[in-house]
Amino acid sequence: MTHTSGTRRARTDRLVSWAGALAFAGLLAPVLGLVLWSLLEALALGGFELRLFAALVGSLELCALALLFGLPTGLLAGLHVAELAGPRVARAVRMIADVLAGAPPLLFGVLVHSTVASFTGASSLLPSALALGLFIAPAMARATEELLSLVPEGLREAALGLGLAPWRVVLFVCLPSVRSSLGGVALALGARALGEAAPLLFTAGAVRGLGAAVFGDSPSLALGLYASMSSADPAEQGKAWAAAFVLLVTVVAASALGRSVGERRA
Amino acid sequence: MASLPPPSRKALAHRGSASGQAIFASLARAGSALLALATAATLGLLVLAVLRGPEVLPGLASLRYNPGTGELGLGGLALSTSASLLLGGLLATPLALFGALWLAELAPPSVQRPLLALLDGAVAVPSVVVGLWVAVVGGAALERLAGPGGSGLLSAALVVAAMSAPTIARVAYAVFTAVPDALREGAIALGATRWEAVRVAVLPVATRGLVGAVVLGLARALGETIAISMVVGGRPSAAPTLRGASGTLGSVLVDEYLDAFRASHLATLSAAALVLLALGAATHLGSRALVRGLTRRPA
Repeated sequence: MTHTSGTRRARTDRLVSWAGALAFAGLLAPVLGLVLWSLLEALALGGFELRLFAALVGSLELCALALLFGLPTGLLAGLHVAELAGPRVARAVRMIADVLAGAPPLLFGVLVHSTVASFTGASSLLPSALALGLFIAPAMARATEELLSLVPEGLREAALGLGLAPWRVVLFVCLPSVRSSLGGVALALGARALGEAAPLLFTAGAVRGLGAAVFGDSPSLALGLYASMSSADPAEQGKAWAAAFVLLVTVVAASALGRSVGERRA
Repeated sequence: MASLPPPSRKALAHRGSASGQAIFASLARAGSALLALATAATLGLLVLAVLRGPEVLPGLASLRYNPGTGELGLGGLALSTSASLLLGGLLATPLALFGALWLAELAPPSVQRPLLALLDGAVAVPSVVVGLWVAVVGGAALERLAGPGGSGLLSAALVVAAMSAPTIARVAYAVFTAVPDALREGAIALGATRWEAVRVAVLPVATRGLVGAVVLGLARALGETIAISMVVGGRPSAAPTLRGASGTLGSVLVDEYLDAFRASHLATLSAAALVLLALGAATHLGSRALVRGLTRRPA
């Protein structure tokens, strides 16, 4: 815009650019500030200890198990809507997925707590993972369906023209062409599930401090954070801040990784 | 599609494909059925709990909520929920939309990718962390500003803003990038500056999707229970009379569901959950309709 530089319009343009950059900075500043703040606070209160690592491992384990439940369910439902179901069934399943995606995640904990948890007994990992799986599945279903709708019709027709059975076209031609995007979605959902504590209140049994045994009462960093923060003891609060720091770094790293995986061309 | 791999040999061997199709179809159907089952079970559970304590239904719209004295009206909670959503939305929306506009339209191309990755990270920030921060840092500041006990609603609004702003920005970014380049190019060819091109050519097309972005972001904050409970509920300093004013439909669920043993109390909480479920479904379906056809990628 050299020909307009110095005019009022060019000044407005520059002004809006700077203001926009400022707004974006304001959007990200809380996150970056939060990382730094929780690190400093945790260091000051001596919150970092070895048991934090155990809680992280427990959280990752829980997250992996939840993905194991949620991803296939969501993927299959998405495939069903995109490739097999008639328009009426597709609309119904889509609506169900939207209802589930819009539900407060806490309700999945309530559901598992009052159905499955009475069979699985005191073990907390399995019901917690089921609840988080329910949190993951609807989003995965919608993402799968939308990604499959982006696969070019020509690719599908070419594969069918080669004599492939329709299900092979879906599994070995369509899905592989969107696999990196699906991987990105899966990672992002894993990151969301890692930080979700509300359903675990109902499924993880008694809430204890951070770093109980991995298969014990409190396998989750997010839940441990919630338990520790309500304590007035500065040492417990230090643990809460340390957990917040570890959780933030893990979650942000996982979702950034998800973005880079999702953008790789298949 | 220049660089697609050739179909693997496994894909081309189509022996037994009829049974394969049947297996594939039934597996896929099972996936959908599981989702339907979960929805039905959740709804059934809540409706059943409401039916077990039907005596609370007439007083449900009352503004007073105090389980200790048996006052079980959800009206006050609904009011404070809407107030915190409104306040938080007012805080988050301008920042998020303007920030997304900058990132999509005005930012130098070299910083777009790394900043987008950071924005994705911000979307994933766990609500417990937001709750911790607002409770400890924001709460103290607000208390100094508004006096003790007066900070409940403001803290809740802060949580809503912090939870929804990244989501709003992320969806808005997807909406902006879905606007065809030809519109911008046309405006710039006519002599518009970058900002004028956005204002004249992009914003009118994107408005519907931007509304959808705001609704989707607030929907996420609506389902947020634990962070708001961390800042307003169960805090020993909050007087019992202020609880009704500062708790929300979501935060009472976290605070009280596990300890609710009376059928009437459980029925009230289940009714609150049903309201949240209905609102969440409505906002999700509504924002889908608004954003549909505008974004290329699922946001």
